Amino acid sequence: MDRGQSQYLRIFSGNTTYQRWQSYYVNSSVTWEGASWAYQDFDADGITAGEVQSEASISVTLPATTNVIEVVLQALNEARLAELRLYEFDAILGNSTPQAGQTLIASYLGEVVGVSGGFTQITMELGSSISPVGAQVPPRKFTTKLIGAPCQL
Amino acid sequence: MPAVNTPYTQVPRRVRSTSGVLPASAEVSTPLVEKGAEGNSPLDVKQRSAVVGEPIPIVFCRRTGGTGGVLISPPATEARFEDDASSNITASYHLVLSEGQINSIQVRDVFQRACRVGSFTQTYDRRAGTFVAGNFINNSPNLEAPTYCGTSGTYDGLSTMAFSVTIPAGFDQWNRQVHCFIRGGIYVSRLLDSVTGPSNNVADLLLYLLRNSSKVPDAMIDTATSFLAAATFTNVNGFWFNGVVSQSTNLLDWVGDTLPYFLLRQTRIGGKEALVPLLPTNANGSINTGPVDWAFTFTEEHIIPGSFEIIYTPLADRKPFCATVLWRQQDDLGIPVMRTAEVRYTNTAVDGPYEQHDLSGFCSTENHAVKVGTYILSKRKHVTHRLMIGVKPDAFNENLAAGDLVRVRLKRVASTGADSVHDYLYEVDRIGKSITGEVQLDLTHFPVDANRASVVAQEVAAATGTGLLLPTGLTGITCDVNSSADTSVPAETFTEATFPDYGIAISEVEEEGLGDDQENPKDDLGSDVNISWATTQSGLVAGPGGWVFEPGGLTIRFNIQDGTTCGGSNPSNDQAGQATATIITTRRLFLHLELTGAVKSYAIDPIDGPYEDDVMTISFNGQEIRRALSDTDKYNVDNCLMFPPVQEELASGPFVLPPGSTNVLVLDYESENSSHRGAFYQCTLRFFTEPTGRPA
Repeated sequence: MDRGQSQYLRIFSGNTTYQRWQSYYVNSSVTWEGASWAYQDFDADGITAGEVQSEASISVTLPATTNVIEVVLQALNEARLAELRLYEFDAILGNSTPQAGQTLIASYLGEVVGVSGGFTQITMELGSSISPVGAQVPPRKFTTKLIGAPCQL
Repeated sequence: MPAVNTPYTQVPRRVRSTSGVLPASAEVSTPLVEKGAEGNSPLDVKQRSAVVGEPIPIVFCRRTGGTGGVLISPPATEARFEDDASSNITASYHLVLSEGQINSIQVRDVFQRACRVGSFTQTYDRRAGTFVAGNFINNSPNLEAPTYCGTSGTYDGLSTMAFSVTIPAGFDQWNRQVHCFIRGGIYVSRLLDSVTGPSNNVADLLLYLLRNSSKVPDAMIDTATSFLAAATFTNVNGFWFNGVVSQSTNLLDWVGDTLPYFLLRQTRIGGKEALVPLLPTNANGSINTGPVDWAFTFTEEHIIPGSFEIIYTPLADRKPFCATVLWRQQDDLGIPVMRTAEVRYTNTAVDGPYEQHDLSGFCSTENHAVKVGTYILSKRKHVTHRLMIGVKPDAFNENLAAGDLVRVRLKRVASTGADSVHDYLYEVDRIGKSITGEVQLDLTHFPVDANRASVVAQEVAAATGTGLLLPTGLTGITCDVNSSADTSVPAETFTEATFPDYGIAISEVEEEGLGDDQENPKDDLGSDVNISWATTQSGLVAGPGGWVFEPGGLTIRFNIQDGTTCGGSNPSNDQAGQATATIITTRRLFLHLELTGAVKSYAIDPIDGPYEDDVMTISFNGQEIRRALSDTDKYNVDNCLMFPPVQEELASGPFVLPPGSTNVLVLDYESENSSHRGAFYQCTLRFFTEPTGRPA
């Protein structure tokens, strides 16, 4: 077996998918799970599942092209979700289109919580918008609008 | 098996601090601070007033089967004091009961001090009652009633109560704290029955907090699977939450502090927020005390050499101790009794050390407290080590998740002595999957007996409380005016009013008002170049598709609509479009074009043979300079696969734009077939002041 791994990245919100990218089949769009995935070079740094603190986020690095910057910034600004999937397959059996029997070995769903990078590449951070610092519980506090000037007993 | 003893008095002891070496996620860590029971409410104290900025409490409870409910001491936001000619004092308080809507409170469940007195009315989302706040004491010159009696507010989304009591002259009980026994707390959508109403399930509470505190999207919460399973687990085993969330804290801290006391842990599975029981469970949510199955067996074949790292439990964590678990005995009369359950292994730690875990803020059943204490003890006693290994990817990759059980079986062959086998079951704490394929696993020893049944699960399942109910100690002549059997609910009265909005809403700046992308210009043309586009398109149906521009007009794209033969909505074989750019420049420039796209493969007509499809032609000042179409080499039986087009340069660039000239660039697209999915053409114009590339 010649092990191949392909990555698929979908940026979406609700039922609307804004981008489907794959990074394995160079310069071609491929069909997988009934949808077309355009080629876009990107790289993810790994997927972790388990303890919350250790799974704060993962990073996806992309070339800083105009289109990529636009897509990534829109995802950040509009709190879109990104789903990263990692498939494994036997490259000897075929290398031009996704194999029907390829194995999903990891997937990660996260909000686009941060974007940074250099002039030539940009890194999109996927994770949860739950902040590990700061008080969020209970969600609301007594405000002037809610209770006016409270009595002093 | 741990013995359970529930003495009537608790003797707090100093306990050791946590070692920090082995607090695996599946363990309840040792509290760093011990104090009086959190669930205790002092009865005979002055009425508390609300403070702006203070968190609004969430009363989360549901009394079912004679257990549950919580006594709350709500803060006052408004007050009124008046007296009559006999100096009898009437005090009225407006109280905020809870965030959200809660069940109606019965007459028997409202107290001032420990006495059922006064009258009240309750409402939601507005001010309760009709009294006017203020100090109207006229006949009792020596009475020092508060004079800052509060104004009012919208009380949006809050459950409120107006309470009123008249106290005979000479007594000062008018200023005492009001308490309410809440049988049904904030309304949420319950996971188990999909009904909106009060809940005592901690999974419902976490779901509420995730949605309302951090606005976590529903798509990021594993509601249908893990949250539902966790809700079933806690409900079947009687781990109920009946308490008030009032202390301001971080959500993750709250989760880390609270969920282990429900034998749950929060995790993320595939990035989604999830809940996993800390014990093996059966399909119906009960604790599985039978043989357990593991998801995968790791052997020498899988483990990457040098990645095996084992940490044994240090001595400090192995010493026997007594777990003192605080809980709240909550009978139907409303006033709770704080209780302790001492859990220890037989004949161990008889005189300590003690480790106190305070569940009194939310736990109102003895069995819950006892099972948590047993779990703490059992894990500490039986879990001997943790293991970290790196493994090669295999069939487990797809299915293994945090909380699953795995077996690690390795043969140890030494040059001296007999061979041995490292053969243990483990619980997966963490899985790290790298892009290179290597998988890192953090595992916690999962002790099983000879029948492969979990030792911890058996001990927890078998642990039950004594069932003894402690007398409340209530003696003497009752001070109740209202009946303890009065289950009626007073009529709802309220005050409707409008209030000024003290907040401000900042309007978004209209970009159009500032000109074209002033904040972040993308058009790198100078002011002496102007491009205007005119487009036409045909063969399209409603929805996205056709010509689109990037700001600045330097990139134009024709999105070919997905055809019906490829799952799209456009049945036409003849999608087409023409875009004409009129380019006026006052200086000499050179134009480069970048054309990219994804179009269908070269088509084969069964009669006429190959034909051209998805043709894009580009003309500049009347001369055809570029032509792109489907690629012959990309022919594929799947018509819905898109490929980059093949391109032909009919005239070499760059193309000169003389100073003061008006130039016309035309992009012309035409399809011959409807088999498209995600297809497009995109053209970017780049202008330079020199032929070889100095930007304009």
